Amino acid sequence: MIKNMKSGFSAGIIAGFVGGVVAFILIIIGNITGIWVPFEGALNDVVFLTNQAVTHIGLNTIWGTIFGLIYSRFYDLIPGKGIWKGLYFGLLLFLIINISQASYLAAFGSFFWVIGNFYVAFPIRIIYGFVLGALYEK
Amino acid sequence: MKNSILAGAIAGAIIGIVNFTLGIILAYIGVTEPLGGVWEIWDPSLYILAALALLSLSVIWGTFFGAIYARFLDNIPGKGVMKGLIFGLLIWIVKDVAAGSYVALIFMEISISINLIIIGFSMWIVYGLILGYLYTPSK
Repeated sequence: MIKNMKSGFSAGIIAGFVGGVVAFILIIIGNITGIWVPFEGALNDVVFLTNQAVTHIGLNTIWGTIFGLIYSRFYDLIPGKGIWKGLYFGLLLFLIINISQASYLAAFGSFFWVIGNFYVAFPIRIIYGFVLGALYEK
Repeated sequence: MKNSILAGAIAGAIIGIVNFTLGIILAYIGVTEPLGGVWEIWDPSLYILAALALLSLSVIWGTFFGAIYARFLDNIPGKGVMKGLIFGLLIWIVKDVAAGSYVALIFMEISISINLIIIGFSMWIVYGLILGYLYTPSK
């Protein structure tokens, strides 16, 4: 286990970056397999793919940093230890951001976005929590 | 009130009404184009269904956030109503601003994003104020 970062800011940047890379890979896999296709024909457009990669990685890094700061502030109150604490935090983020959003989307019939919330967001929150829990220690 | 879950449910019910009212006003003046186009169809039965859905979801999530508020209370800055207000702002940033940024920048759904951020702001400010006012932790 790495466990040597005392800054939620730095750990959040790294975890967010990793989450962003995973999100982009999941979008590509979703397009290839047809699991979730938000952009038809996207795989043939290099400029579009580059934009998507930059946006996913950029947004996840920015939000990962903010969530990392929140994680370090509430660290003692999050259940579990080490990686489990990070995973618990990732799940909490998934509940607060994605499940809550998905519940409103489902109520108004936007099921396409509900699938996206599960297919992309669940793995990236788990991976984000895992990396954050592995890197950060108070 | 010593029960944060009940305080959260009450605050949630109130923001459900705020959400419904603002959704109609913003769509009526053309600022947003809400999900499913519900507000664009002037059908009273559809409005009642939408109001019930928003009210129920707001009570459920209000209860959930009420429980989280009690758990994380000691590490939230401020006192009393201010503590609630800061918690409301924190929910708004983590839940609506984050989701809004993804929806706008990745999926180019600007209208949904504006909806999330504008309505979310008023909802969670009101929620935090009510929760902070109602809930008093037992010592």
